Amino acid sequence: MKRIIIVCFVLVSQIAVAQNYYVYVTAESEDEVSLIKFNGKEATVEETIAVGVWPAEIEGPHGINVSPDGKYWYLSLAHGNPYGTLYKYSTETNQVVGKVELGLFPASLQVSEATGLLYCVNFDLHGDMVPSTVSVVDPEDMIEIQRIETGVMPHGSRISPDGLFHYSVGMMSGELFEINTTRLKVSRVLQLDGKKEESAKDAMSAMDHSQMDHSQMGHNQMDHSKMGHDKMYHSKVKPTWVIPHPTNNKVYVAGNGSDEILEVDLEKWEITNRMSTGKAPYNVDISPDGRYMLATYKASAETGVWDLKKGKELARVKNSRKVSHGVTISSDSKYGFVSVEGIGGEPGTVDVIDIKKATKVASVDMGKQAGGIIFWKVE
Amino acid sequence: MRLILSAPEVDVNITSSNTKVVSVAPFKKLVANSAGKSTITMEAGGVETKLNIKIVENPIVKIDLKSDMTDGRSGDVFTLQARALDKNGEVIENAPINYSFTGESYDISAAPSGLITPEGKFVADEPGLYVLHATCGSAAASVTVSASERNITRKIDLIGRGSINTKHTSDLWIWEGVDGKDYAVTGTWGADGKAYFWDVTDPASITLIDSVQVDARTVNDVKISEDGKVCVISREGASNRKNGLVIIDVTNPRDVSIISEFSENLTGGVHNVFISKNHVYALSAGRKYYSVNIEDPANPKIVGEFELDTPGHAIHDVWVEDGIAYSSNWDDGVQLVDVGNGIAGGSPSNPVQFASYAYPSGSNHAAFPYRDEKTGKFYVILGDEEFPYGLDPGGKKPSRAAGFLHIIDFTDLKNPKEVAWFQVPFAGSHNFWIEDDILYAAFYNAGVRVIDISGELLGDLNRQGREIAWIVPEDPEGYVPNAPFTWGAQPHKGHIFYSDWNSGLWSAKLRPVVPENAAVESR
Repeated sequence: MKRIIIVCFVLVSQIAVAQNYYVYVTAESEDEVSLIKFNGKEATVEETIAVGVWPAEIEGPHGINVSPDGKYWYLSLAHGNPYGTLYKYSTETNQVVGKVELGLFPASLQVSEATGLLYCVNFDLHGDMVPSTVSVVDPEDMIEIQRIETGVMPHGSRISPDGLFHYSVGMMSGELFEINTTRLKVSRVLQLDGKKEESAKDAMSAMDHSQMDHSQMGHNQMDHSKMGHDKMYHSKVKPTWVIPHPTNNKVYVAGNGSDEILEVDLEKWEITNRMSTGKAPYNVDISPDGRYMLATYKASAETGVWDLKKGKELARVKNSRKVSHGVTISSDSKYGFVSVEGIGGEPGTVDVIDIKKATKVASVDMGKQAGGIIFWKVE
Repeated sequence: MRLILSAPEVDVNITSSNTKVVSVAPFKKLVANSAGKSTITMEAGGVETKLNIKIVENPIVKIDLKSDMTDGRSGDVFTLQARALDKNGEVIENAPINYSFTGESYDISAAPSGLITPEGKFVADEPGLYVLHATCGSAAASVTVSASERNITRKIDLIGRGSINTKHTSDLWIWEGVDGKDYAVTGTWGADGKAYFWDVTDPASITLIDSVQVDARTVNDVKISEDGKVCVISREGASNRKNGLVIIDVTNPRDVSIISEFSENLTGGVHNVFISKNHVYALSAGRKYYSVNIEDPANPKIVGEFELDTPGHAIHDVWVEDGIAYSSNWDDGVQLVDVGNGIAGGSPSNPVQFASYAYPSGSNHAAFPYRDEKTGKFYVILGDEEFPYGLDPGGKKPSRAAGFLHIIDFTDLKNPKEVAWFQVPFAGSHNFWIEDDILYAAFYNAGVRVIDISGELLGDLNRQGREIAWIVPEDPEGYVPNAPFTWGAQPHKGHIFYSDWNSGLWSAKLRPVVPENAAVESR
């Protein structure tokens, strides 16, 4: 009997480690998306999908996400002429099934389980310091149905577990936006720098465009002293990501400029905690069980593993190379997958972190500048 | 007469009250049969409108037709002069004259073909005998012209190469260094941020002599200053996302050194640059270009910028010649901007746009000006960039491009006109260069095409036999093997240098033109 129990235990263990985890990762400077498989021990590139249509122009795959039913993945290509494009792929074939042009530099995106609509921020990373938008797309027909104005350079965004609210952060205006996903309107704005009166919108309105002679378009024709550049707002927090907690009615914001993660209480609509991090936190994800938070520290090439119950950073896991980018956590809350960009001709890398152990357990190289990353399935 | 309807998809019923005067022909055309009056009724969806037409006697009884030449070559433009005369032999001004042609090819296997314009300019594609007609009502006249073989093809020989087969190669620039020797710089694409410097003094022995590496994944463009001392390379894919450009001292190309890096307003990536008179014209994030003063290359300074204000405007390239910047702006076509020429009072710090031309495909990717001294014509040649065939999912098969070169007659700056084109089937244009009435064009998967653009240009230049030569860089050891994908071509001191995406730098040479009366020795 004892022997049978031991055999059963071994079998169960083997079944447990035999699970395969799959994540999609973008290679922004390779125009590729890699499907990464992690079998509990090793991570491998299962498939590499060339994306875009221009062989001799980098189109920059940036944001990526999987539909709630797991049948499709969506990808934003940042660069176009000048607008970027949202692509829809089948997870079964990894073939394009639809596309739609969005705004300037579309980035993070997600489908709401409540509305079935897809919300994608138009990052406009290289544009003027003016408010950008969130595009709302019908992912069935791949038609953009609405653009909602938010902050300056909106980058990170995620939707509440019930699908009713979309949260995004304006990187340069330092604002957290809450969009009502059914009304398609901004419902609340929170100035994360705590200086609402100096928000980017205010600063922009302080610029007197009437003093610029646009017809001349020449610098020497503009009197910069009257243009209000001193009032141009640059957020100190520089928020780059926001993630709603699955249960505690809070969102967590990566303060890339202030080296902290801000906890925002959605009921009070105020910052309730500031957690010091490594250098330049960039992306954040929270385990589905709500216990752990992983944050990439872009400048120190680390990933912070946080215990949210204790409000404490458990460890900083060194990433395989420089420029840590995105993070996604498996549905069983066991593993975190971190994309690491690398520099120049280096490959991109995906590091796999055992969350409980707070250690890196596998890595795999892929195309250059690994960026957007999303967990697909475990089986 | 042709009726022009604002909604051509609507089925319109057209009738004439007097078909002896005006009858209705297919495709909504009216035929004037005799002098008199008729009411034309048009009905669609229960809505009706009427048009009263009066037909007068055609006073033209004769057309006097001349051609400026009767013997030419395929690709030469025959200009017709037609005068409409009444029964008294008086000229009737502004008579509506229609031109057409018939012909027979000298090659029995080829159909006669050509183009005749409403202004009476004819060009033959196929060598042959052509009858050019001018008609006005029942009056008609013809002249017969002969278009012989253009006969300008020349042999081209591969001379040398500098292989790069571990990464993609992008643009090139060839220049005479301060030491009198000849050098080249090539960029790299989707790689490790390197630019390579070559000694090409002997084009048969191209030698890699130095390189620089910057924080980038693509060095898309490389340019050298007029004095051969300063190189500017563009950066895309910098790890800190602050791209911009890098200025390099190339006084000694065997030991180049970075003078400065500059990213102000250029963080979004610089796809293309140009250097002219101590200013760098640098694209910013595909939206606009800045003029950057580099009199002190260690301290570059933005002095001006040019950006369109059209919805969704974008830019791909800028080329400066004689103080005029020619920017290629995709949907917005080419923009001619005075940055120091004086034609519109512009300067590097005050760029002034004075002319433009856009075409429907919106694929304008590159531009190069060309003044033909003999005809006095001023052309700007515009190149497409198109990839309708998509990508090889595995990334290991040769790519195939599309698009062609559009020849725009800018002689009248206010009324530019697309007059000719050069196309290579199943291939697409990229960067190109013009020297001595010859166009050197990189056509991606179709290699380098060398094209005779002398004289007036009209119609399909390729079909006219204006292609002098072509050479395709095929390399079984290439980054993608046997996958020519030529990026740019530049003539220099009698040789043609060209860069290829999958195989690096190459050189070739056209064999000399053999005079028609050259003595042929025989035993």
